[in-house]
Amino acid sequence: MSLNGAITNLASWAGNTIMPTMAGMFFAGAVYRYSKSHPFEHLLYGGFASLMCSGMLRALEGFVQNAGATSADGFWMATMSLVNWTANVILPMFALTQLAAMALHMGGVLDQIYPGSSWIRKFIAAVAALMVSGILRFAESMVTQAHGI
Amino acid sequence: MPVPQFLLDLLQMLLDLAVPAAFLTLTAAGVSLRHEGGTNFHVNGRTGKWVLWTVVLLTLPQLLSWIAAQGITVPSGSGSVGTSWIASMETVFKAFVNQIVVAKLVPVLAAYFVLKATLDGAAGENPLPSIIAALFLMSLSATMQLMQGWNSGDQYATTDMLTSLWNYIVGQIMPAAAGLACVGAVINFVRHRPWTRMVFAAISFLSVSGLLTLFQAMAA
Repeated sequence: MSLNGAITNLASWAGNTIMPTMAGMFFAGAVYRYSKSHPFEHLLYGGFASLMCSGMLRALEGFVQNAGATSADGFWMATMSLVNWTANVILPMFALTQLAAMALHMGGVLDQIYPGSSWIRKFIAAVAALMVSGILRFAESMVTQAHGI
Repeated sequence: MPVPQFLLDLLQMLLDLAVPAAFLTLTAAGVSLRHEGGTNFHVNGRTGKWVLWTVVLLTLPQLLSWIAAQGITVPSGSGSVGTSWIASMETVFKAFVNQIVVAKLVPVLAAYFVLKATLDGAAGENPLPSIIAALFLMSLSATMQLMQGWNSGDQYATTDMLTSLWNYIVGQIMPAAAGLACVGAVINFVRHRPWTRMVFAAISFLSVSGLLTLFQAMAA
């Protein structure tokens, strides 16, 4: 057993075996916190991120390779690629969710049926609690079908 | 005046024991790695010194040939030990290193660090340093073979081996460490701890060669 192989296997085991499993735990925790009306977004995003450890590494590798492994601009180009990716990919997606929320508010949907009201929250939490496996499969599907930039 | 046979035998024995001694120094490096943090090392710390001694011991004949090339007379170390009791000491020491230290003691030390990793986790500490030290010790023989393969055989074998070691760490170990950094970033995010630095650490791990080139350009 080589040290290189051992550490690679450790990283692969942690990223590809443990973290996808922990994603289920994070989603379950998100459902529970949602039912208590506590902030749950961190666990929700953490669940998605757990499924994407390999993808995150591949993205960072792609950023680094923009300049080449031995280029003096390697770190700068990688950081700039990360900033560009955040600003030009992630933020537009975030903007869509904000526009959707705006449309709901303008339509008065959130005034008529407020998702944060207790009975709806309890109902959604109960349904989600019964569907953690389904939520995980759905998240896996979303991650699997994601396209690299 | 000829060198006495006893001294020649003693010299030959010491040269023959260089590789077993390198095993011991590499083992000490693994133990020191946990002492210094496991995922990190101290500049001028024990781990670096033990690794340096390992490299020196593995390239001792080449280092002596460099000294001889400078005009300093170095007694030849080639041949075999003629004195029986010195040869017996050499055999016993080699057997001790191979049969007891490498085959038995090092795996137990690695197991000890696995136990330490579980206890670290139970105590709320990071188990990764103990895991890294355990992996280092478990892969001791392969690492030794790898380092022996880096011996260029010429007068500059010591620095050549250090260069190969640098390339190995940068090209093989650090990309895997970047994967661990991504996992650490996710865990820190969920635990409401600083995670951005782990992302930039992953980028740094993947671009160590580029950073060296950058520093060289800065220094030029």
